Amino acid sequence: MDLIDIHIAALRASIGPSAVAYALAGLGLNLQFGYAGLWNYGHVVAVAAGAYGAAIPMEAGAPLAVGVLCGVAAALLVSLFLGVAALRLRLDYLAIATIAFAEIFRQVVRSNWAEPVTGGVFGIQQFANDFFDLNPINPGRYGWGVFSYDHRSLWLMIVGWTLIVIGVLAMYLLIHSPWGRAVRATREDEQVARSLGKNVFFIRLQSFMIGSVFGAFAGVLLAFHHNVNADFYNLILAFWVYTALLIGGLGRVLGPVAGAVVFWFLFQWFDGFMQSSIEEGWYGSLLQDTDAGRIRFVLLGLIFVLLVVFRPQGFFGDKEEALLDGT
Amino acid sequence: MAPDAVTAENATAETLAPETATAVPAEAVLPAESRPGVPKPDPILTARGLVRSFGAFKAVDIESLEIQQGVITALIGPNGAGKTTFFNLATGFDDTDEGSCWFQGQRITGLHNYQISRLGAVRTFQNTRALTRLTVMENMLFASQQQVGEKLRRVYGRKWRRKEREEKERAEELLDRFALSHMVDEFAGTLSGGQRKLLEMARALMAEPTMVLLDEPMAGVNPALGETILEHIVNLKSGGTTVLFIEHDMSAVRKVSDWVICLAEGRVIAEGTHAEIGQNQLVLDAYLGSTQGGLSDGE
Repeated sequence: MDLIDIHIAALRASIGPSAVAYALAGLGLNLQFGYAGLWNYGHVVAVAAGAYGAAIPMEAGAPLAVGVLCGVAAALLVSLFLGVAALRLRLDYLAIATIAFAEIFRQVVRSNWAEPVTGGVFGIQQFANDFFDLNPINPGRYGWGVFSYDHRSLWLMIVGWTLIVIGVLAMYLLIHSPWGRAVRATREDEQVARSLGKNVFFIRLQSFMIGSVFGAFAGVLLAFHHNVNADFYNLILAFWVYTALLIGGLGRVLGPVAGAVVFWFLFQWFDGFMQSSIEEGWYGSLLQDTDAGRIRFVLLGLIFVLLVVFRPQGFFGDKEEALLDGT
Repeated sequence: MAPDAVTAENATAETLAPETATAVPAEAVLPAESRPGVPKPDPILTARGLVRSFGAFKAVDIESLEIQQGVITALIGPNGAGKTTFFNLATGFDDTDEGSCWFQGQRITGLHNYQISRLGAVRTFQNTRALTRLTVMENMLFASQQQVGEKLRRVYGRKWRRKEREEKERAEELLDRFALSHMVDEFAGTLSGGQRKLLEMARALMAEPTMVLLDEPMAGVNPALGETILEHIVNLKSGGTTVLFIEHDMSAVRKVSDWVICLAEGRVIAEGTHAEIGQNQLVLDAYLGSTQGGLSDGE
C-alpha cells in the first residue's frame, strides 16, 4: 500500500473543485443554520437553483455574466418563496418543510414534463464553454505526480477560491455588524427579539436569502465542473454540506471553509485507504472491491458521530458557546 | 390636579414605610374612586371589552381597564386569574378574540408585537429569557432601537459604528446601575438566575420604553435582590417611565405600587391603592377561595 500517494490524493481533493463548492455552500448554510438557527435542509435547492438558473440560459446562448446572474436570481426567488411559505413555522417544522421542498424541487426538475427546459433525467451538458474560454491557463496538467490538476479544474479552483475569499470577508463584516447581532439574537430567542421591537420574520428571511446566494455560487461552479443533473442535488448532498459545516464549527466565519477542506481530505483518504487495503486482501472475502465506496461513507458517518459527541464545537468553534443551550 | 385626587394620594403616602415614601411623588395623579374599571385622569394603556377564550374558558374578560401614565401599577390576582394573558394581549403576544387596547391613544390591537414594542410598550417575561449565546453587552446593544446598522443596506457603511460607540456607553451605564459591569463580556448563558433577571430589566430599559410591563420581576430571586429590583422599579418611575407589573408578594406590592388592580377569573374585581385593596372583601375572597392560599404578606 502506498500511504504517501493516499495522502497526496486526499490533499489534492481537499482543495479541489468539490471542496470549493462545499465551502461556498457551507458559508451560506452557516449563516442560515449557524447564525440564524434556521434548520434548512433545503439548502441543496439553492445550489440546484443556481446551477439550473445558470445552465438554462447559457445553453440557449446567453453570455456567462447573464447566466451567473440568472443563477443567483433563481436561488433568491426560490428562497423567497420557500422563506415566505415556511419561515412562519416553528423551527422544527421548518426542517421538515425544507426537506420536502428539496425533494419536490428535484422531482419536478427531473420530470418528463420539465424535460424541454431542464433536460429531465439527462440534465444539461456542454453549456459552460464561455466560462472555460476565459481560462488563461494553457491546456495540460499542472502539479507533481498525483497532486496535479488539469487546466479546467485549476481555472475553476482559482475562480472558486477567489469567491471564497470575497465571501468570507463579506460574511465577516455581516456577522460583526448590528445586523449580524440581530440575526444571532433571533436564533437565541425570537420572543425576546419581538419584545424589543425586532421584526423576526424579516430578519430570518434576509439571512435565508443571503445564505441562498452563497448556495447559488456553489451551484454555478458545480454546474461548470460536473454539468447539471437533477439527481446530483439530492438530500445526501444537503447532509454532506451539513457534515462539512459541523466539522469546521458552527457559527465561525471560517468554519465552513475549514470543514469543506477537512471533509474532502477525509473522504478521499478513506476512499484510497479502503481501496488499497481491499486490493491487498486485508479483509479476506469479507469485503470486495465494490465495497470501498460504501465503507468510506460509513467511516465518515462514524467521524461525524464522534465529532458531535466529543467535539460539538467542531475544529474552530468555542466549546463553552456550543454547550450553552437556550435556557 | 383635581382636589379629590390629592386625598387619594395622601392616603397612599400614610401607609408607606418611611424609606419608600418617595414611591409616590406629588405629581402622581390617581383617580378619586376605587371601583373596578375606573377611568384614569391620563391613561397610557386602555382596554375595552377585552376577551380571550381558550375553548369554553374565558381567560380574560375585561370590560374596561385603564393604566395611569407615570405611576407604578401592580397587577395582582390568584393563579389563573388572567394576568399574563392580559399582558400577552396588550403587547400583541396573543390574539385578542374581542375588544381592543389603545396605547397613548393609538389602537394597538391587531398590530404585531414588535410594532407595539416600537411604540414604546416593552414587556419582560415570567420565565427569564436571556439571549444565552450572546454576551451581556450584546444583549444590551441588541435592545437599542436606534441602531441603523441593523438594516442590511447599512451594514457595509460607516454610520453605525459611531452609533455603536454611543449605545455602548449607554449600555455600560445601565449595566453599572444593575451591578452587571463585571460580566460585560461573558455569555449571558453563564449568568445566575438573579443576574438574568437584572439583565432582562436592564435590556428592556435599553430600548428606552415609555411603559414597561414586567411579568413577575421578582419571581425566584432572593429577598436582597428582590429589594434591589424594587428600587429599580421606583427609579424607573422617577425617570418618567410608566410601570405595570405582575406580582404575588403583597409586601412588595405595598412598597412600590401607587395603584393596584386585582384580577380574578379574567375579570377586574377591584382597583385602588394597596391599602384599599388589602381590605377589599372581594379580593380576600378571591385569594382565599383559590387553592393558592391567602394574600401573602411576607411579614
